Amino acid sequence: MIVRILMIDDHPGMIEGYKAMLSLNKEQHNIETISAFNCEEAYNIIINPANSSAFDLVFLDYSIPEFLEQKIYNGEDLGVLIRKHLPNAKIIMLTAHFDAIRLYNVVKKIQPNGLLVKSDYKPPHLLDAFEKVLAGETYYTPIVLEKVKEPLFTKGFLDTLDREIIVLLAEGFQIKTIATKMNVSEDTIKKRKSKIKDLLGIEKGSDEDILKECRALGLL
Amino acid sequence: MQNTKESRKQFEINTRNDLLKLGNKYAYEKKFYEINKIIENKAESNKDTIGNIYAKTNIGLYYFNLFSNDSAYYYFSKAEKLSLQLKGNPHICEIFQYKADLLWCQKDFSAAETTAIKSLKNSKGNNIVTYSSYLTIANALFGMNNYDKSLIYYNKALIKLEELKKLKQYNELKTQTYNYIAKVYQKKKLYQKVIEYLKINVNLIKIKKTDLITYSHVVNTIAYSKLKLNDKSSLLLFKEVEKIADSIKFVPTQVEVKTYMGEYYLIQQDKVKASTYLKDAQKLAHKNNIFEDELKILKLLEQANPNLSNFYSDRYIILNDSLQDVERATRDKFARIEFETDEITNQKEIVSKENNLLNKRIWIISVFGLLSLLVIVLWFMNKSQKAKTRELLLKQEQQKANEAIYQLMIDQQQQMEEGKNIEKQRISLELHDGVMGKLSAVRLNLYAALYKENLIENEVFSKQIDEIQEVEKEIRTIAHDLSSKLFSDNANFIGIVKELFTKIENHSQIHFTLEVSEAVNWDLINNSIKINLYRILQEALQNIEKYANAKNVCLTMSLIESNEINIVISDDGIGFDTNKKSNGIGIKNMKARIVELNGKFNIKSELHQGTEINLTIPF
Repeated sequence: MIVRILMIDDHPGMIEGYKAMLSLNKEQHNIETISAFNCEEAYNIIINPANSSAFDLVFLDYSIPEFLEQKIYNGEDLGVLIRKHLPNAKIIMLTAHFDAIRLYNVVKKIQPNGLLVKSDYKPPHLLDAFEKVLAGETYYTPIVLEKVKEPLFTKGFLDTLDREIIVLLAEGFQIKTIATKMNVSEDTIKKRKSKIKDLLGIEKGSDEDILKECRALGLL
Repeated sequence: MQNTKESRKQFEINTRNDLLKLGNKYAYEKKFYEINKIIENKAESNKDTIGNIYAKTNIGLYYFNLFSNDSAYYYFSKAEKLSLQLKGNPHICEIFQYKADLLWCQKDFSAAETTAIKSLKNSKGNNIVTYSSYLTIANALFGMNNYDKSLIYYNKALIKLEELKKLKQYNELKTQTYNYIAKVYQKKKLYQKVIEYLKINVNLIKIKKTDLITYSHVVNTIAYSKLKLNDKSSLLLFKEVEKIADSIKFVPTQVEVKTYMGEYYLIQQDKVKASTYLKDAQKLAHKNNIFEDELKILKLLEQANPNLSNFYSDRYIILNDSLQDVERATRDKFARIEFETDEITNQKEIVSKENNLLNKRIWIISVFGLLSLLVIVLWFMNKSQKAKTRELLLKQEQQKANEAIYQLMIDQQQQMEEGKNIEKQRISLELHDGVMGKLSAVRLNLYAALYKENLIENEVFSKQIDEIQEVEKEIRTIAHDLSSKLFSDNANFIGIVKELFTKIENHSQIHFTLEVSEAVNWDLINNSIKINLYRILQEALQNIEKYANAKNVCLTMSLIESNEINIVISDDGIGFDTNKKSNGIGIKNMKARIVELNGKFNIKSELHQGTEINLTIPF
């Protein structure tokens, strides 16, 4: 059978690697791939109505060049679009990030069928994930399974907005930039920050203290 | 010194007084004139004004006695001028009196009267002058045919004379006055009264012994009245007077008595005899410039010589005219003399007026000066107040500026930090997404290739593939650490200080050590203090860089009290002599800043022993 895959990664070598690996699949599936190297290319393919059922599977990287025009900054944002425009396609997210917040956000937002942390899996695991996802199962690498259990997230203490703020703070952005990126006011960010501090048990402190605490908790 | 000067002055005065006494012995002789000239010269050179007044008055009197009325008037006027210069105007009444007499002699009666009144006004207590003034006023009034009024003044003179009984000439003066009064009656044609009046008041026998001139006057008056009463006994009296006058050569009486005798013979119709006497009288009068009498005589001569009446009337007219001319000329002359002295007096008045004006001006200037001084003082006080306020405002502004600068530096530092963070983030991402991703890609491709060649079971290859994965993990950790340390270099005071070090380290061999006590909470320290501290450190580090030739610099900052920070900057450079006054601007600046912060500044250094700057700053 033919498996049509949309491969989104900014490293052509990586896409070649995926292809090479998939060619080794035990079911002898024919693999057809279309590649996108950044958010813009991926966006154009995804929102094209002609493609709405063109893919069985999407290999999605987390960190890829952003498409500012549509405010698409990463694979997470693309995942949301894929779920909307390509309802038949399954998603395998492959990311180098292994922090709880991002992983949890990804799981929460797009519920990928597969979630692998690069450098954390050995090549055969990629084939396992491919086959399991094709079979309708989910495949998360062990570290992911561990991280998404974080009670602060699972019990709803830190919601999506809070988590995004923490992510952007960790990426070194100032409040102004964060507000612009998230399309909310600076005041909202400030309120959220004080809520995050309360949750993390920080009385007085800077952004650094938030991040320190997050790291201590393994959220980052 | 003072004493010799005083005694010298006294000596001069004594000499002058002796000379005056001596001169008075020769009264109105040539010698009198000469002595007074000497006194005048001495007084001029010694600036002895009193002496000068005496001398000038005496010289005036001398000329007056010689009938040299111009010169006399000149000297009197000069004496008057000098007297008016002095306080109290000494002897002014005498001088006025002499002048009045002189004017009377010149027949300038109204001027004589005025001057005599001036004398009277100034004569306080001087009875002789008062008497003389009354007499002169009376004579002047008599001259102006104001007989009734003149009588009043003669009587006043008589009353005054009663206070002068001690005077040697008392009797003569009294007789003289009676004679004047008698003459008033004579003018009023009360001839009988004249004779009786004089008979009652004058002891002729007594006066004949003491004063022949006065005696002759009185006899003359009586004789003339008798003549008018057609009493022929008058001739005997006239002859007696003529005899006396001729013997003492007293011209006025000679002229008068000869005129009277001429008149007598005219009445007796003896025109030849009358002519003889009148011609004699006329000659004498003419010779001695007694023009008034000469006129009278000429008129009588006209009567005595009807044949020659034209001749005498012509002469009368000529004389009268020339007399008027002379009179006018004399008056002009006197006026001129008066004017000259007046002018000087005027100048003096002008000077004193100017002095007054000057005094007023000085007053005005002083008042204005004081006022302006006051205004200036107030202005300065106001200004200094303003300056103080301005200084305060400036200090506040400077503090604000300092804080603003610190804020700017912090902002800059933050911007730099953000830039750095972004760069770190970029590197982290590059490693994470780029290098690591590529490695992953390599690993996958390699695995796939080896798998296809059935080499995957080969331990060497599989081990290398695992090795690549380990590298990936390492890179991941590095990237993570990089991004997680993003905020470790926070923007704060220490960061800014470190920046200072970095800048110097970039272009020198100096090695910096920074030791900051954890106890220092920089957030509690005012930004204004921090910026000043920063400037001090900057100055110190610049000095070290420029002059110290140091290899190591150590900066320690610690808390000594809960609100005092201690900063020590030490280096191992060449040091300098702290005793030298020529401390550079750098050290002065540091000290000034420390003073501004109410802190302590101490600098220790010896040649080749390095330098240590110790600061204590309260906050």
